[in-house]
Amino acid sequence: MNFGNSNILNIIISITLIYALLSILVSILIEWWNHYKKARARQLKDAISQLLKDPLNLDYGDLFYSHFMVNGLTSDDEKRRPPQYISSKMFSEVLIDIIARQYLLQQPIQLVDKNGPGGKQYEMVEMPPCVTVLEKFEASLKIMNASPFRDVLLSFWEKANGNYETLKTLIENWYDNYMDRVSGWYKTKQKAKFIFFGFVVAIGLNIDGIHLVKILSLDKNLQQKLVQTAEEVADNYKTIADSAYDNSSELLRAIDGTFPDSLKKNNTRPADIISYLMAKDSAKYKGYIKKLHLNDSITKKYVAQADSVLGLAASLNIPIGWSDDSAPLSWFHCKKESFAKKTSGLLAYNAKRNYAPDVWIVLLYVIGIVISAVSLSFGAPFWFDLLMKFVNIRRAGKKPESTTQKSKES
Amino acid sequence: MSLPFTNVHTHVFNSECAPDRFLRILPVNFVRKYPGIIKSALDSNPGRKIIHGLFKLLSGREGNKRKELDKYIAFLDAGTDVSQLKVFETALKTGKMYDSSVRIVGLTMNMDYMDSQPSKKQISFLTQLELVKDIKRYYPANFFPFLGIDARHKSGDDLVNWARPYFESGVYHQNLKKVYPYFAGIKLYPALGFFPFDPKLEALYRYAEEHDIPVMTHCTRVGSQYIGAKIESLITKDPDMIATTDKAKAVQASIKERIERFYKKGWIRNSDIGDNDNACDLFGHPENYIPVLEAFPKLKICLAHMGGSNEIVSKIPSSVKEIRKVDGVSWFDKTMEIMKMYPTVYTDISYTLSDFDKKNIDVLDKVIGLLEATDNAGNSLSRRVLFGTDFFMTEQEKRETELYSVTKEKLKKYFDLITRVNPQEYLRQPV
Repeated sequence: MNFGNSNILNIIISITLIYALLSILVSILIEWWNHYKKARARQLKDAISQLLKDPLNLDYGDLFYSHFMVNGLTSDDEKRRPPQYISSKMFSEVLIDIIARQYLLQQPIQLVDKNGPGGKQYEMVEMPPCVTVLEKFEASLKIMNASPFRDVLLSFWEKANGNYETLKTLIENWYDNYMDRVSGWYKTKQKAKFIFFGFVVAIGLNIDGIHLVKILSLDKNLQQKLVQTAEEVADNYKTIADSAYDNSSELLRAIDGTFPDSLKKNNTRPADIISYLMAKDSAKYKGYIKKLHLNDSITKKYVAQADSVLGLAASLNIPIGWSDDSAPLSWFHCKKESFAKKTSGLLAYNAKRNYAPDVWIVLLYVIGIVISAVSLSFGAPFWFDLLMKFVNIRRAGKKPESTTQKSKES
Repeated sequence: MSLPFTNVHTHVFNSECAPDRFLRILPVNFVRKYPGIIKSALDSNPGRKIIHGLFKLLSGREGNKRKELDKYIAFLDAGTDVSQLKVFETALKTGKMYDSSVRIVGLTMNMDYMDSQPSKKQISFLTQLELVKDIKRYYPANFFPFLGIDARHKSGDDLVNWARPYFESGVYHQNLKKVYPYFAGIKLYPALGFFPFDPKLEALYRYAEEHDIPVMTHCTRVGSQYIGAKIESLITKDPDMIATTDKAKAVQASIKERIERFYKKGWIRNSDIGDNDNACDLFGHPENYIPVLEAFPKLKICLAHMGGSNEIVSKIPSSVKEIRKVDGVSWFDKTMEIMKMYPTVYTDISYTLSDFDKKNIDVLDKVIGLLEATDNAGNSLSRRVLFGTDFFMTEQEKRETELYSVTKEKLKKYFDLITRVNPQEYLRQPV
């Protein structure tokens, strides 16, 4: 058996390509949602607040975010978006600053005249001089109440032995280790969103997994086209750096290059709808766009990416989407007369599914949607890795191109 | 000497300072049962607009419930994802239109005891104060914070020892060559769950009187209140009280009777959803300050908001009518009466002034009546009325700039007195 040309393997590769492509859409939606809800920035803020929380002294996390260097990274518009990323270098510098500042805030004063005509008069009381940041840091540690957080700082201070750079490095390492764990928590939190948006895309684009398999088994041309595309996509995917596998823009770039522009159909897609609303000379539409932040540059980028994915899906003629001529909308205006009973193959299958629904067909449709939703929730990297594996298996099982060619020529 | 323009009543805390279930201040059972869900919806701008619209529709334009929501929305608009420094700078910007050396009093609030359940996202009160000290460092001649006090936090000398560093540490203004303490006064918000006559506060009042530190207290029936469970444990039928004189003892009896009446009416009842609105009115009642004033006759206390607009109007809302049946006192009248009796008692026009230009109610007339009245010694009460805007709680009612101009227009004769002369008498900060 020539496994490389196996019909089953070709169907699997085609299905994998479809899910790989559409799961990019899930990733784009999640990235947009996280951007809209400031999820990444909020999670970072919560994590830093948690790390710097000291019930025996202060909530240093809030002082950290109020520091000019960090607060300056917050957008000044009505969205007030806090930073999504804080480097370990910035973290250490700001933390040293906010600890050292405590000493400054203790400057004692003395009331010298309570009844003066210009109000009460005060004067400063001398304090032991602290010139450098390190001296202030040490003095501040002394005035803090004993606490686990202070113990950590004290330990860094002792290990640094009066060297500012060493103190910074110790704090940076501490932060980096913590952030590795935070990334893990973040990914765990994203899982529920993948399932939700998997359903959004599966229902929104009417992706019936069982229908896809059936069509691919019946439509050899489509199968061939998808397998060919899958091979090219797999080749492009190899060129992406490991760190970019989670990045929807990189994945999209990998597969976008596979398609000639002429193939990308110009259907009505998100960017067209937004452009239409933007072009409307109506304050009402512009108001909605503003409220939903559809006019910010990052949202525009996500809309353009979603647009590309849908364009690619359309160019491959993947049997998805909503139409009066396909299930389930076709069930509501069943054109019984168009049901060609005597036809066979793809035509017969389509006719029965779209125009002669029974309980079994409806059930299969629902199961197909659920299968797609769950499949899409696995995420784009999963499907691309799988695609690579199947394409490699196909290539391994296939006779070398040159040998086949030569034998044909002879 | 030209005295600086002063706004004695603003808030600079942000949403992180408030407890997670802060929304329970709204008198709506659904909100009180599920404050987290509503809070999530209110955290976004579109969500706030939708809920605000729905509330308007359900409670009518002038409803008390809507006013409460307005305040909360104003708080979220100004205080979500923004630092206290930024909140202050917004208030300062408006004030500077009137005087470049404007002074803004920022009232901190200790909300650590507002709820019986610990909050996960709320920052500690000490952190709120640390950030306020930073604002004072940046704007020593413009910002005059008041230290929020709660009798459940600390008591007696312990409380004084805790508060002293806030009044006895400070900053030096390089250009003016003046030294300013970090904190200029004491802020009480009794409705959060304590009585101002609590003996735990006695040592602090003594310290404040000795050091000429003014006290600002919230004095309206509506507002924020204790939102936790077990209100009965906070309001005993025979509360401990600072009582030194016969007058104080007479008031003590009157207070106990009021508590008894509230218990009989069923207004003091442990509630799992923080339904403590009427019960918390007992904490901030103007009469509660008489024992304090009797014990500390030189202590300056400002009974803010003049008792509240709802108490001033002749045509009182039905909710207030119901309360008056049990507690027959108008807080506005009581505030004026106390001002007449005690020469160290002040009031301010904050929040009330947002109703000055409403034609169907007579708030302005009553306020002018108070300004024109004299105390028992024959001195004008206008010398003890202060200008404040209650920023940012009034942002939904009127923009801050409007409040300034309404005051200037409606109280022209008293404008300099209440915005410059009286605040300096009250604050006694270096000028």
